[in-house]
Amino acid sequence: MDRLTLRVMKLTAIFLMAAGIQVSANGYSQFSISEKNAPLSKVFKVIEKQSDYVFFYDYKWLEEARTVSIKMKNAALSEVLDMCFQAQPLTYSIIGKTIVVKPKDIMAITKGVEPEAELIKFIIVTGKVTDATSNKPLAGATITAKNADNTATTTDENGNFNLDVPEGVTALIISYVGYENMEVKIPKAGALNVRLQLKDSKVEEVVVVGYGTRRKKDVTGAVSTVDSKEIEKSTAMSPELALQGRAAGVFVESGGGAPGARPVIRIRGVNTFGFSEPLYVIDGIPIFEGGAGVTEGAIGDIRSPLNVFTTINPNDIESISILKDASAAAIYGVRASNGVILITTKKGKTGRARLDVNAYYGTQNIPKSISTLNTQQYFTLLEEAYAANPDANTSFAQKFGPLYDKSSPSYVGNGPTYNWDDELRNKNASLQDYNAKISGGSENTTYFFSAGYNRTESPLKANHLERFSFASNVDARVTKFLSAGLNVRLIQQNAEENTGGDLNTMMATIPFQPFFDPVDKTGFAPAASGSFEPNPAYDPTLLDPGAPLVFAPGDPVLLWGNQTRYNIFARQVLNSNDYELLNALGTAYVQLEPITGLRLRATIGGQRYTNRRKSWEDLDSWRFSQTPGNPYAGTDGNSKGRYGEREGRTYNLNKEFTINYVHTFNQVHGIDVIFSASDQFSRWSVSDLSGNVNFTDPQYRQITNQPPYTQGFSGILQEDALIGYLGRVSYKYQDKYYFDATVRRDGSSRLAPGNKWENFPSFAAAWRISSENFFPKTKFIDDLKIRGGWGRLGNYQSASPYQFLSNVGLTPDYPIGSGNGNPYGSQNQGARLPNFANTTLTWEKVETTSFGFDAILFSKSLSLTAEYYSKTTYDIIQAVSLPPNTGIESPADLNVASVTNKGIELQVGYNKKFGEVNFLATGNITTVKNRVTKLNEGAPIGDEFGRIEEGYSMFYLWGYKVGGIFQSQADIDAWKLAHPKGDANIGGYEYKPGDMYFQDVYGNPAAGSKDRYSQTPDSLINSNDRTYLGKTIPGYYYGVSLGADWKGFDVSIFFQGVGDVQKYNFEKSGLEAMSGAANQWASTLNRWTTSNASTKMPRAVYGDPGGFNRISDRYVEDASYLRLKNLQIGYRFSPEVLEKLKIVQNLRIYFSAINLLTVTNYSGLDPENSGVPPSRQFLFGINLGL
Amino acid sequence: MKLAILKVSGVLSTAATILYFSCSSKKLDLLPHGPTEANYFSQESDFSKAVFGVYAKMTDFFWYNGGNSLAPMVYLEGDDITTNASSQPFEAFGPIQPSNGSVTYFYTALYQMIARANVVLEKVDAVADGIYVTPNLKNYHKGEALFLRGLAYYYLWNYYGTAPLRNERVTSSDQFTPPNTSGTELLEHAISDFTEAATLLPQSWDAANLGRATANSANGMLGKSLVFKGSATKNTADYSAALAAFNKLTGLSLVANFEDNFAFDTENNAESLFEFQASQAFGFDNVWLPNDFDNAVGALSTYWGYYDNNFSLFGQSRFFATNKLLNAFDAADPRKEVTLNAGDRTVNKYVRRDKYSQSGVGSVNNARILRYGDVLLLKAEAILQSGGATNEAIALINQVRARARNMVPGGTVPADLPLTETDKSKIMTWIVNERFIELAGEGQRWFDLRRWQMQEIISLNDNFFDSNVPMAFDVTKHLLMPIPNSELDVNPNMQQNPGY
Repeated sequence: MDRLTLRVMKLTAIFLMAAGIQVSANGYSQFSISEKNAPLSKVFKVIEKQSDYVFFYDYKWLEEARTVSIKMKNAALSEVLDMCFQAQPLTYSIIGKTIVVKPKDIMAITKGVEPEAELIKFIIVTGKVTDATSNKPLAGATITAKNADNTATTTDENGNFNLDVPEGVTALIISYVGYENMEVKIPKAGALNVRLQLKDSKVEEVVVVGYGTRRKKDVTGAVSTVDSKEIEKSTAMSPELALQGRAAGVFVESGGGAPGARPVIRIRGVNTFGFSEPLYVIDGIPIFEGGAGVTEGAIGDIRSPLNVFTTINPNDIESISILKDASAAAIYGVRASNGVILITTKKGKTGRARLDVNAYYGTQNIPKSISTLNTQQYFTLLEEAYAANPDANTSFAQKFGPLYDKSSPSYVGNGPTYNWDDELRNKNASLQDYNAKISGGSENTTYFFSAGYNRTESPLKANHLERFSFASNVDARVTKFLSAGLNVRLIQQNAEENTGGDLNTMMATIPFQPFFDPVDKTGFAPAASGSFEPNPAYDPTLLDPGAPLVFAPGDPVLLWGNQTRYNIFARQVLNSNDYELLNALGTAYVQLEPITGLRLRATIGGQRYTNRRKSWEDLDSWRFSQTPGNPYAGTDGNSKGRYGEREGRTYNLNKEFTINYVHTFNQVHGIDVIFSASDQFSRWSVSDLSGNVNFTDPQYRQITNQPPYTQGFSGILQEDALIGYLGRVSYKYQDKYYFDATVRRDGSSRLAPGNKWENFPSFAAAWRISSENFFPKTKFIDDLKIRGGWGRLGNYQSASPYQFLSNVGLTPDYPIGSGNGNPYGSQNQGARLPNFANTTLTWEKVETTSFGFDAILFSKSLSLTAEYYSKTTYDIIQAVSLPPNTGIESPADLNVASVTNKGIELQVGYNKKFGEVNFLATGNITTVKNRVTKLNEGAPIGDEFGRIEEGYSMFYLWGYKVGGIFQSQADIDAWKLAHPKGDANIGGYEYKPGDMYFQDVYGNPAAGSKDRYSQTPDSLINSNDRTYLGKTIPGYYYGVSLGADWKGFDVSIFFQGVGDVQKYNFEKSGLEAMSGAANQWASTLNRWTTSNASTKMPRAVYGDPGGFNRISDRYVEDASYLRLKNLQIGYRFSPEVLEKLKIVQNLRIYFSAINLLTVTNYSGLDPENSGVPPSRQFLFGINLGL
Repeated sequence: MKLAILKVSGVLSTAATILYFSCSSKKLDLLPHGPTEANYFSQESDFSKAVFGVYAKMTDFFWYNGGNSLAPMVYLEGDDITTNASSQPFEAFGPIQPSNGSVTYFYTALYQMIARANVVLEKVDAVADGIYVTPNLKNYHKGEALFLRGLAYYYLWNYYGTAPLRNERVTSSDQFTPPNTSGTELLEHAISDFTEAATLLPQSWDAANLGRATANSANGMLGKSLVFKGSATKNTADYSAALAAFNKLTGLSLVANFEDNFAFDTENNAESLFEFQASQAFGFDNVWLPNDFDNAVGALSTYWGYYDNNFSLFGQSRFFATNKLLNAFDAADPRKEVTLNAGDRTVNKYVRRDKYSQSGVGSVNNARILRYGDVLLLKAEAILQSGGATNEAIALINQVRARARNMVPGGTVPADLPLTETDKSKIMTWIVNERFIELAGEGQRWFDLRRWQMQEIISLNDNFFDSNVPMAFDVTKHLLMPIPNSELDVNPNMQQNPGY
């Protein structure tokens, strides 16, 4: 082939690729030109000067060209060019902004080329490329001659092309991004009409990876995605719950049925016993939440029970990507060890304005209830239990008071039963969601606006969440080189969190205590009564005046005996506990693209989140408490109640500068290079004020500085700074070989000078083996890519801030100076140094290795991803409760432990059309094998409910093993003979038939030995016999989704489950304990009695002197479950019907059921959450598009 | 044009990058918004606060603790107080376990008090000139810290016996796992702390500072510890040393009304050597929140609910006096009805003249830790056991008895014991008995019983305790509480006490 032609075509191909990106940029420029006998090259320069077009040609050709004389004003480019090329041996074509000049007749310019060169004849093929379904022309499609790759062109704006094809070429290959490649025969005559089919989305799906997107087929790391279609099926107010069962490697545990509850998310096992939450990045902003990861104690309380992610409207989410291994997540460095969840919100798209409206309404209930004893059964059980172990010199009636005394007129044992559990349920709690979006855009500007309203009630009373959400984004291409955009999101949330107890607390309430009392002014039955008398010591002139009124002698009195429970329903009405949340998120960017493929982008993003609690405690509410304190304390006697406001404010500012260069060399070497520098500053501050208010009217509830006494403290101020630099190089050779390398360097304010900085590298490679020539072309395998990667990630949040410093705590107080009639003295502030300053504290690090393959099989009907992962966390920051002898009060953060997580992930997708039925199935399963490999001094930590010990799964259940239940005195005698040292936990208690005994698993350590126990049983049952009872990290979890659509109907069904997991049934341990005076489950009717020789449940013994309720496998249960999470049936109106409605483009109605069915062996209310179980919901919805 | 843009963006990006690198590290130098050790201890008041911090830890020993009060562990083991709850470990002894919450909590709190004292000692020793401006305050602070550390050692020896020593602040991980002590090692360290404290502390404080440790507090506890050591070692030199310490006490007297020792309105009186200062936080005495929680709310109170059957027991058995105690009083001994109700054996001490905090649960009535009545009897014991004049010892007992009978105008009961008695063991029996009735229900009895058992003056068994409930007392085991699991589980250098 002619060398020159070859070169031209190659270059053309490169320009075609470049042009592809800007093919939409059009030139309506007008040209004015006046030249006389000018060489063509001069005319070209003039045109270049007046526009952003460039000419592409070979100087040699111009030698052959004629000079040009031309005079035109405000002419179109084509007019000018046509004039210039009149009677020239050359012709031109416009590709994007490039005007390619080429000879009309290739033969005419081959003069001077070696005569022996083979001369090839060309034929001109013309045609048009369109979309097969819409028949719209496709501009920029590539047409390549088969077996002559360097002969190629692209279609123009109308989809037309013409290509000079060397003789002998019989077919063309037509390709277009997002469409299936097509091979067509070159017809003998006439134009080609090519209709391209959209590609199977699985193959060309674009995935959001950190700092950019990737074609799914090009991804080398472990990334799962969940798209808007699946997110929309979830009715949870928080988007994370939509991930449950949808993505391999992502474990999600519901926080329960309350709308604001926080789910637990763990990606590929549990890395650490410290901070285990993944990093959330919303549209590029790494989210910061004060107190993140803490749910207990003061910090957990201040952080509030409300999930901050409920402030992201799931309707606005386009996709969620989960970066699971180091090669994917290393670009987030020190924050990424627990995985990264990238939330990408919807953006405007070029095209006409669209209005989408989505709405649903439904109701929900807790599916399960467990019956409790009625009043008569309760008394029978309690009397039986007390008879088995009475207090000395104390009758049943003396112990529990006249209410329990059959001979007393106030005896309640024959009275009615009140079902507290049932009363707390908010029957048919509603959930509703309305959302409208407008989006669209022109060539240079796209926009998106969204507004939503959601109100979801909890299935328990006095709890709901209401959300108003607004989002908007605009992206504009300001000039050819400069674009900018703004993305803002504003969410106001109002929540009521005033339930005040869960179902298990209610089930334990004594069954004869009523809810209501029409005689009481509140309408509720009080729990306590009492009268007040003036306090002689009250002195309002003092800083601490004392209480103006005190209880009269003998008061307060609990009205329902010692077992009186608080009246939750009265407190729900009298008191209030409301939250106002405001979350404002925004990001703005400016991007320069000086040359194609090179982008310089500066982004500033931020977040302002306020969480305000408004609480009111009515003065009268003490009467409904089981611990009635003096309500007049700290008042002047006129107060009607106490009002408090607590506000937590999170401020988060993220600045980032990114340079990105994407280029393909010689058509085959693709590179994508990123360099970025960023810094993030976050601040969490909390203030808390409360005081007494002289009115009950809600509108007067505000913080004032008036008497009586306003008290306040400013709670918390935490700041956090993070600086990161990252570089990533991605290389691919054709679509065959991929290589990625990332390095991130992070510095954080949390650690001591000298330990602040750390590097996080990662590497990944992939090989599309199916693209190799040697790979057999079968119908079985369409695409096969194997990939693997290694990397290192960090976790900086396990370290509490400033652990390297010794803090001074100013909270102890000691009063001195009392005496001579004054019992109070004066309160003095004290100081303490509660923590162990660890100046060598460093990051937790996770090293991950993973490899696997992605395959597309059976004519693209089946996709399969399988992956093995292995992660080692080391330098785990263990908040070690130092041995008590040290006197160090706060647990100390030490880098001492290691944990591994290994497992396999499988993700399968199947999509096939059977006649008119389109069938879709996806499934995923993840296995986790978690092992603690190293601990501080090898010493186990954690309690029985979450023990951490080398060689075991983290947080395993630890305790005694039940031996059995003595059925007779002979059993007891035999056992005593075998265990001469007995059970150390029961002291002097003498076993009776019906009692439970425990196994002698280990022995005491030999004297002088440093073992914690001896493997040899020693016939003594004591704390050394505690052993492994089960694991709390599920061994596997999975999700299966099936869907079909036929004509307008669609049905989808989604199952989700976890397996190989045990749970300590806390509810059962209280409600089957039979050792106190709380009410019990009706299952205790099966307890051991002389007439019911149970082998499962011991006899009832008050006070549990035999320790039957010690932490043992009695209450450890299999907590695996399979849930029918979502069933949805929808109907989409056909285009014919919609046409009649004129403006409606799309209309779908659906019915959906959530949590329809749960299969489990767990005996509590729910294996995921027993306090407020996930509710069963039924709802109707509508999707409307205009 | 293209070139120009390239140039501009090149300059821009270089500038941006340089900007990032240049201001990087400084941004990371954040500090907490509260004082740190490095900038604290810069003024006298900082030291005062640190000292109050040590005292404040005592709240843990006496407060309600959300229903987990240490009261059963403090009051029930003796033969003076009992309960009807047979599953109460400190009543029946059998169920006491290394995992017991009170056993763990008391142990932990004692070492936290020691740690706070160690901080004060370290800082006071290192203080720069000019920080202390009040004369002698530096010595007082050091004395208070030593006294409180000694007090913690004293409790540790009496309850746990073999708990480890902690004479220095823990600042590195190689200090985490000390071994057990043995014998009277802990007591010896208490003695040495009290000895030094006595030389540093003031004789008394002004009215505003009443309740802080004095030289009397230190000498009193020193003498008491030496008597205890004498019981354990049967070494007369210890008793002699105790006597020397007691002889340094000045300005103390028995108050006329015995009940003033247990009343809210007569705290820190002439008989008092040391008390836990109970009060209420200016916001609210929240008995579910520890002292350390916050300045405005949090418990600063004691808990006497077991004595007066406060509703906050929620069905737990209240405490009663044993029949043994009831019968030990002379019928007309005025102390009897101050101590208990003869009818139902409920306890009167501390709760007849009591004052609740705002909570209605906690009390502002101080718990008396050491009073002169106790000291006089200890001194009698020290004289007797060191071979001193028996009549001198008897006279001291008689001082205590005289105060009691003089509460009633023209009172005659209890009568003086004959000064002529010379049988040492008989006089010792008098002391044992007098301590029983004088100090009943004050949380002293168990410490006396265990040391006298060591001294083989008494022999403890189930019957001895006269409990309402079946006992499982094992004298080879129960003289020591178990070392809590929380220590043993993480400290491989320590051994459990025998029998657990």
